Amino acid sequence: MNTSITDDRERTHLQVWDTLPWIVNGTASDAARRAAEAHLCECEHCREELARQQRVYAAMNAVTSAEAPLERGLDRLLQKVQAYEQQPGRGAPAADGAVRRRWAMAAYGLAAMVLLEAGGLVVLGMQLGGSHPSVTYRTLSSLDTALPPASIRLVVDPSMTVGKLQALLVSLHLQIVGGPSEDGVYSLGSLDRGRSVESDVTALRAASGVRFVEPVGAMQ
Amino acid sequence: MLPIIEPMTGRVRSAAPRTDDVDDLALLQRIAARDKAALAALYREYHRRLVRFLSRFTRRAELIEEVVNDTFLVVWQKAPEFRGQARVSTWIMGIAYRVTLKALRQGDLPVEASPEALETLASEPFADHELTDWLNKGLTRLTAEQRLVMELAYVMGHSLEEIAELTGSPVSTVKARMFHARVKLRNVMPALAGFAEDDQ
Repeated sequence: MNTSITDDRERTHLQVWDTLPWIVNGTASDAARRAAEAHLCECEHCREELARQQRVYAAMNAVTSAEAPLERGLDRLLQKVQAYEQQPGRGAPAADGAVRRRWAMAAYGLAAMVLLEAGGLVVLGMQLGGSHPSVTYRTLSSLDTALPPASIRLVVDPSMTVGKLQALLVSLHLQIVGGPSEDGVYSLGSLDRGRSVESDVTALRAASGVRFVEPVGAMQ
Repeated sequence: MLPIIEPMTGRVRSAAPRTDDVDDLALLQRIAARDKAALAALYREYHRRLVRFLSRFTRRAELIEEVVNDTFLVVWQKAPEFRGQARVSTWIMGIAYRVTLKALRQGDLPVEASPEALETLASEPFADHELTDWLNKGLTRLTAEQRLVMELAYVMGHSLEEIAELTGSPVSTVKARMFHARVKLRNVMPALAGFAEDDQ
């Protein structure tokens, strides 16, 4: 009988001791709170632990929040969502022509980069021995939009991910119109005729993960 | 007859949900229909809460923003799968928990005690700089899971059951993590405010 009482007290002690953090933060149930109050009257250890956890609680809440501008964060989130949505296979194709072109561009970029990331040396548009003329390479078939002329050659670092390349090209209204060659060179065309090749080259050179960028004329 | 258990003065419950869950649910349904304005509204609703949660881990705004935005990108991705299995606030905090846990494990969030944190101490009757300094050091000794349980309970004000739900763990696991966190803190903290006593 005495053993049973001792066991019950010990069990209650352990239960209350476990519950103290939620007594402190005010979310323990009424029943748990009542049990704790009854036990605390007779248990000095739990009273001390309660006081200790109240101090920890107060100290942890004594630090104010850091400054993290909401609007800037939201702008960046929406850019992130935009990049995510432009990945092939995401959502339904839009009816709008400009959006559809972006989808096509994203599809090109992804297909090409998947080949690159797979680690294989993919020779596209080339045949060994040179006896055959180059074959026009398209990553996806049946596109109803004409490809813009190649105006920029691009080589990216192997660490460049599909998502980063995609986001970069979309932001500059550029499209992969050829490549990668066996040297890993992509040909890019601009979907925005109002932009100069020089400004696109400058922007690409400033981007991380870009190894080499030149206007098409400069390489010939 | 008591009060042995006194309400904590200056207790911060800003972490608790501020809007009706129905409002959040309506926003989440619109997000599932690819409504970015709804995503922005939900972001505004939860931004302060998540920044507060993350401020205990780092004071660097760009890191906080990255974790918050990674969380909301998952919200955008997973909204169509939400079936009302939890409160929206718990579901979002669960995502934030997993994103933060991953960042902590990868070392993306600095775990050292932050000097800026000490400078921003508010006037709390229970708190003092020395205790907070030791506490910050003590928290770095905890595992990511133990520390997160403490943050969720003490900073975010979540109940035991809510923490179990949002961490995807049994209640017994949450209790065990909190138990070990308390013991570790007591062992690494000095004879300050009774922390060195072996009195369980």
